Amino acid sequence: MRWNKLILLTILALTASCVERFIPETTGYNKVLFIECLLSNDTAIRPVVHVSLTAPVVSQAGGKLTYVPEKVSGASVRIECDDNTVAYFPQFGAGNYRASTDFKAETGKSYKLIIQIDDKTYESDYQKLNQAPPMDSISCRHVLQKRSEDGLIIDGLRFYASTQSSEPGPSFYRWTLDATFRYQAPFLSTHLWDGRYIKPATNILLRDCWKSKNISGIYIGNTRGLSENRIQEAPLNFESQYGNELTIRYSLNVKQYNISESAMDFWENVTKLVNETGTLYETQPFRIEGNIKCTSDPSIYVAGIFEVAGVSTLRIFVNRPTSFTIFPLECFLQQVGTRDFPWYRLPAESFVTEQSPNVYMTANQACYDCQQRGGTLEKPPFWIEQIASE
Amino acid sequence: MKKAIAITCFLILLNFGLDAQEKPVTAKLNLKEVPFTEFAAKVLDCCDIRIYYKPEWIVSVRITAEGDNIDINELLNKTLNPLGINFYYRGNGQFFLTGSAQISTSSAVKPDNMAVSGKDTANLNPRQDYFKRITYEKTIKNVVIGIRGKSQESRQCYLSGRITNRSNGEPVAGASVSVTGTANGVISDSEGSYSLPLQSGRNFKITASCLGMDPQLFAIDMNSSGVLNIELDSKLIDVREVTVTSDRFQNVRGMQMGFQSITAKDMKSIPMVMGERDIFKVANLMPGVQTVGEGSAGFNVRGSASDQNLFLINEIPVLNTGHLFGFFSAFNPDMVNGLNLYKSNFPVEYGGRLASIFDISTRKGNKKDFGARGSLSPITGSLLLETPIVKDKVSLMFSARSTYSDWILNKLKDAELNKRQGSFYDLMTGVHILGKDGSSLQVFGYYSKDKFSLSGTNQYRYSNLGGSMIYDRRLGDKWTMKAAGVVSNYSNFQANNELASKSFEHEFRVRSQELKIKFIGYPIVRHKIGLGGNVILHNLDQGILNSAGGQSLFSPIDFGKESGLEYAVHASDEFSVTENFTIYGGLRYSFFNYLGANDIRIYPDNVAFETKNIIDTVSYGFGKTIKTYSGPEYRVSLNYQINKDLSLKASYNKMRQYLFMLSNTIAISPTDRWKLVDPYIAPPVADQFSLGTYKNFNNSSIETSAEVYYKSVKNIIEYKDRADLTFSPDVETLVLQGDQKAWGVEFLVKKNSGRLTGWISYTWSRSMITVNGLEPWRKINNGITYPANYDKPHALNVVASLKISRRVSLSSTIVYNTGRPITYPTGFIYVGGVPVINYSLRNEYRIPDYFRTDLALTIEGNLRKKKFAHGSWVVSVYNLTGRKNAYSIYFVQENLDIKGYKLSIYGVPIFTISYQFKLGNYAVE
Repeated sequence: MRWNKLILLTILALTASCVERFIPETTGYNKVLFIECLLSNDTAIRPVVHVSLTAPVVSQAGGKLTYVPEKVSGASVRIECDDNTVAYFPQFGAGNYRASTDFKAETGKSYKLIIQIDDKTYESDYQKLNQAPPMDSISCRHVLQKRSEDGLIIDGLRFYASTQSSEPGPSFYRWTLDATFRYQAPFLSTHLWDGRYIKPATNILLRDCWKSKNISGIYIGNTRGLSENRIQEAPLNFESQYGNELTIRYSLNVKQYNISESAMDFWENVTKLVNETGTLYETQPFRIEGNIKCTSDPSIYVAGIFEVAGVSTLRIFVNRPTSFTIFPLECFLQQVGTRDFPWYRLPAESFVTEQSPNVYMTANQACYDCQQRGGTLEKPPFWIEQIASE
Repeated sequence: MKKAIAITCFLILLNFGLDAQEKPVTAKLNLKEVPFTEFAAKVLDCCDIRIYYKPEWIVSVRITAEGDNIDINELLNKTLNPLGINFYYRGNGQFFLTGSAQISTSSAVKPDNMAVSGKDTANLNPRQDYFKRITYEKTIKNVVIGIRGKSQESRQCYLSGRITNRSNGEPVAGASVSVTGTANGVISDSEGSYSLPLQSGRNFKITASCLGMDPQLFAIDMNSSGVLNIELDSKLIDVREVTVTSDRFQNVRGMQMGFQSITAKDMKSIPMVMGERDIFKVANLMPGVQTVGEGSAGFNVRGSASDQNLFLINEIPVLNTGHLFGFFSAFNPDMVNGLNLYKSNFPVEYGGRLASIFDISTRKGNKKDFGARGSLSPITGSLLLETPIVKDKVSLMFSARSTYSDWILNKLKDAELNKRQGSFYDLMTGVHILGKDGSSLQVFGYYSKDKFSLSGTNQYRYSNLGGSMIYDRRLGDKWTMKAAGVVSNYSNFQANNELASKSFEHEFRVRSQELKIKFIGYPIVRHKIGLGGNVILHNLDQGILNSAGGQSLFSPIDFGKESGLEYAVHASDEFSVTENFTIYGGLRYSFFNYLGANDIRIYPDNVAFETKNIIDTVSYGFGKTIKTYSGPEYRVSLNYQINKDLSLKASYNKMRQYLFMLSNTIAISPTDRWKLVDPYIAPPVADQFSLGTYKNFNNSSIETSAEVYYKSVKNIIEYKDRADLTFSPDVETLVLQGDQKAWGVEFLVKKNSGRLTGWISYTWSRSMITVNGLEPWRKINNGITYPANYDKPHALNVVASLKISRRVSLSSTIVYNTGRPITYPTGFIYVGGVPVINYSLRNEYRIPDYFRTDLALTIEGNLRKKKFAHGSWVVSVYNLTGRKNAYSIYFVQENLDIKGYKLSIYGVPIFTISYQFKLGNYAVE
C-alpha cells in the first residue's frame, strides 16, 4: 500500500503540474488604437463607436493586472452605407461616438466605418447586414467544472445554443447574453427594530426579487467546415451551484448576431488569446488585428472590429435544478439582546425574528430584504412563471 | 579444468615470441590419409608434440607422412597452407593453428573451445600459476602479421580487424588502436572494426584501448597487410567512469568537432528523473543541446528547430523520440549502448537534417552466456534478455519496457484523475551474427507506442515502428563495406470530443524505406577514402480529418497523401598531410523528387497563398516527378595538432533537409505531422562554420575544448500568426520561409578519472529568425528579426559524480539557463465588455531563468564475484531546491480580470527510488 502511494505521488507530480500566479516585470507598452462598433438591426440599441487606446499593463499588489483604457476624444466618426447615405456619429462622452436617434441599420445593406483622428484615416471594409435566423433552442445540462479561483470542482448548469439557417453556409454567429433570476430572502421577520424599540413587522413583501445581470464573455460559433449549416449546442455560459441564480427560477436571454467571416476571425483570435494559453503545447501568441485598417498609413497598426449583424433573440426559463445541490448566499441567524450583541449595536430599521418568547434572532438584512442583494421587487414584464407542462 | 587449459593456452600465446629459434621438431611417422585428429594424437603420443586447433578447421584435413625424421613444421606448412589454415610454432613442441587468419595472435585462438590434442594436462599447471601473476596491462603480445615479402623495402600495409569485448563478444565501438608514441591511430567504428595504416617493419608497439576496458599492448611485426582481431577485457575495478568521448585521444586528435559520444555508463552518472535513466537527458547536459521546456520532447541543437535533428537507432529514423508527452525517451535504457551526437562536421554519409545527428546504437547481445537485466521504477518496469544462439557467433536479444501508470490511474476514485490516461511501452529485438570471414549481420526491430487522454475529451496515440538490417564486411585488407536496409513507420492519432457537434478524429502516417551503402578504404598512403550513397522513399499519408461520433456535423477534410524520393551519393577523403595535420574533405550530393500522385493547387502570380485565392489544381499521376530539388553538401574540416595535448580544428558544412515537421507549438506536440518539401516550400539549407581548440591536461585525464560556430539557414520554415494546422490542409497557406542566423561559443571541461569525475559545460549562443519577404504577406513580425523560441543565450551545466566507496556513489547535476523568449502582453483592450490582452512583437521578452539541481545516491549490491544476480538501488531527487521553474507564462481572463500565471512542470523536489538488476556480478557489462 505504501509503495502504491509512492507511485501515486509520482504520477500526480507528473500529471498535475504546478501553476501559480505570476506578474511579469514591467513590460513595454505600445499605445495602440482600438476601435469597436456593433451595428445591428436591433432598433432598441443605438449603435455606439468606442475609440480608445490600449491600456498599459500595470502590475498591482494582489497579483491583479489592471487596465485603464484611455479614451480617445475628438475623432470624426461616420458610417457610410452602400446606398450612398452617410451617418455622422457625434461624440457622446469620452471616447464614445453615438448615432443620432433616426439612424437605422437595415437588413441587406452594407456599411462601412470611417474614422479620422488627426491626419490619419481608419476604415473598415463594407460589411453586409444579414438577417439573423431565429434560434432553434437554448438547452442546458448539468456539468462539472473546475472553479478557477481555487480549483474546486463544482456542479452547475452549462447552457448551449442551437441554431440553423436555410441560407447556404457557412454562417457565423456571436451571442450576447443576459440573465434574470428570481430569488428569495430566506428569513421571515416578526418584528422591526427601529433603533429604540421593536415593533411587530413582516418582511413578506420584501422577500421575492428578480435580478438581472449581463453575462460577459465571448460566445461564438460557426458552421465552417460542417456538412450542414447548423449549429448543435455551442456552449454558452455556466451557472454554478453557488449563489442565488439557480435557487428558484432562472431566465437566459440570448441575442444572436449573424456576423461576417472577418468579424468571426477577430473573435476567434481573441478567444484563442483568452482561452488557449497555458497548455503544454501552446502556440505563439500574436497581435490582434481586426477588420479596420489605417488607410492613410498602412504601416500603422490598429486593432479594431466593426460588426454589422442582423439580430434575433430567444429567452428561456429554467427551474431550480434537482440533480445537484444549490448553495444560496449564506445567511446566519444571531441572537440579539445578549451581552455579546446588545440591542444598541443593531442598526435601526433591522428586521428580527422572535424565535421563542423573548428570544430575538437577526441576520444580515439581505436575508430579510432581497433588494439588498441587488434585485428588484418588481416582476419583469417578460417573466413567465412556471407553467404546468414545464 | 578445460577452462584452466584454455586460459593457459591463451596466456602462453600472449607471452612468447614467435620466432623462437629451436631445432626443428621431428617425429617418426607412418600415416596415409589419416584424419588430422588422429595425426595430432599420434604425435602427442610418440613425441610429446602438442597441436592446438579448433576441430572445425581441420574437418577435411588428411595427413600423409612417411619417414623417420619428418619436420612437423614443414609438414603442417605443406598440408595446411594450401587450405588457408595458418599455424605457428611456439616452442617446446607446441603448435597452434590459427584458422584462416594470416597471423598468429591471441584473438585468433578461441581458448574456450580450442581442442587440445592430449589427455594429460596436469603439466600445464605450473605455467598457469606463473602467468596468473602477470597482469594484463603489462602483457605485451608479440604478433607477426602477414607473410614476409622478399624485398626488404618498406611497404604500406594495413592492420585491420574487429575489437570485441571478451566477456560477452560484443563489438567495442570507439576504441582506439594506435602506434604507441606517435599520432598514428584510428578509432573503431560502431561494429568494432578498425583499419590502421602502417609501414611494413618490425616491432611496432600498438595499443588498443577503450575507456572502461583494460588496454592491450602488442608488439607487431608487419610483413604485409593482415587481420588482428582484439578482445578487450572490461576493467575489473570499475572506477565509475564519467566520460563524454569514448576515447581519450579523440578530444585532441580526432577529426570530430561538435561531437559528443555518450555511453551507457554516462547514463548512470547523472541523477534520474522519476527513476528513469535516459540517454537524452545526458545529451541535454552537453554544450549546445537545449530544450524549450522541461519535459518537452525534442532538442534544439546549436540554435536550430527540433525537427532538424535526425534520430537514428541502429539506422532506423525515429520521428517521435519521447514517451508520455516527451517526459521520457522512447528507448529502453538497458538496450542502449551509446549515442554519437554530431552537431557540426557531419560525416558525409549523414544527411537529410540541418542541425544534428543523434546516432544511437544498441547492445548487440551476449554471445557467450545467457544474460538478463531489468529495472523497476515508480513509472516503468523493464526487462532485457540476451542469449547466444550459436556461441561466439550469433546472439539474440529482446527488451520490453512498459509503464503501469494506467493501472494506477484506474484504481483512483478521483473523477478528474480517472479521466486522465497515459500509458506507453516499447519493444526492441535484435539478432547479431558474426561471420567467419569477419563480416557481421545485424537485424533489429523497434516498436514504441504511446496513448493518453486528457480529461476524457481528447485522445492521443502515436507509435514508431522500424526495422533495419545492417551488413558489414571487409573487402580485401584495404576496404570495408557497410550496407543497410531500413524501414520505418510513424503514425499519430488524435480524437477531439470537446464539442459533440464538432467531434473529429485524424490519423497521420509516414513511412520511409531506405537503402544505404558505404565503403571505407585506405587505397593510398595516408588517405582514408569513403564512398557511398543512399536512397529513401518517403510515403506520407496526411490523413483525413473525420467526424467522430453520431452527433458530429464535420464534413471530412482530406489532407492528402504525398511521396518523395530522397537520394544522395557521397565521397570523402581524410588525408593525413603530416603527422600533425589532417584534412577531411567530403562532398555529398543530394537530390529530392516530389512524386505524384498528387494534386497541386495553383495561385495567381503575386497573390498571397490563401485558400480563397486558389484558381486551379493540377493533378499529377502516380510516380510522376512534380518538383525536383538537388544540391551539393560540402563537408570540410582541418585538424592541426600543435602538440600531443593541444590541437586546433576548423570545419565547414552544408546540409539540406527535405522532410520537416509541421508544428507551430512551442514544444513538440504529439499531434504534429511531418511534411515533405513541395513545389511551394523549398528545402531549408544550412551552412555552418566552426572553429575549435582542444587541450588535454594531466595525461588526458582532464579534457577541455572551446568551439565557436556560426550557422546560417536559408528557407527556414516559420508559421504565420494564427496558423491553424489542425483544420487547414493547404500547408503553403500557413507557412512562410525566412532566414535564420545562429552563433555561439561552447566550452567544456571534463574530468575522466579519479574518484571525482564529471564535466562543466557553458554555452553562450543566439538564434535569430527573419521572415521578410518582398510582399507584405510574406513577412512575420513586420519583417523584423526576432529570437527563435529556443534562443537561450546562457546555459551552464555541471555534472559531478563522486565514488564514495566501491559500492556507494553520489552524483549531482546543476543546470542553469536563460529563460526562453516569450511574447508578452503589452496592453489591454476592452472588447464587448471583456478585457483582452494584446501582445508584443514576437519573442520580445523572456520567461524567468531556469535553475535546477539534482542529486542521486547509487548503492550497489555486494561485490562477490560469484553470484547469481546483482542488484542496485538508486535514490534520486530531481529539482532538489524545489524551484518552480517556469515552463510558460500565460494570461487568462477570469471574471473580468486578467491574471498572469506561471506553469511549472516539476515545482517540487521529486524523490524516487528505483531498483535495477542483472544476472551475474557487479562487473557484468
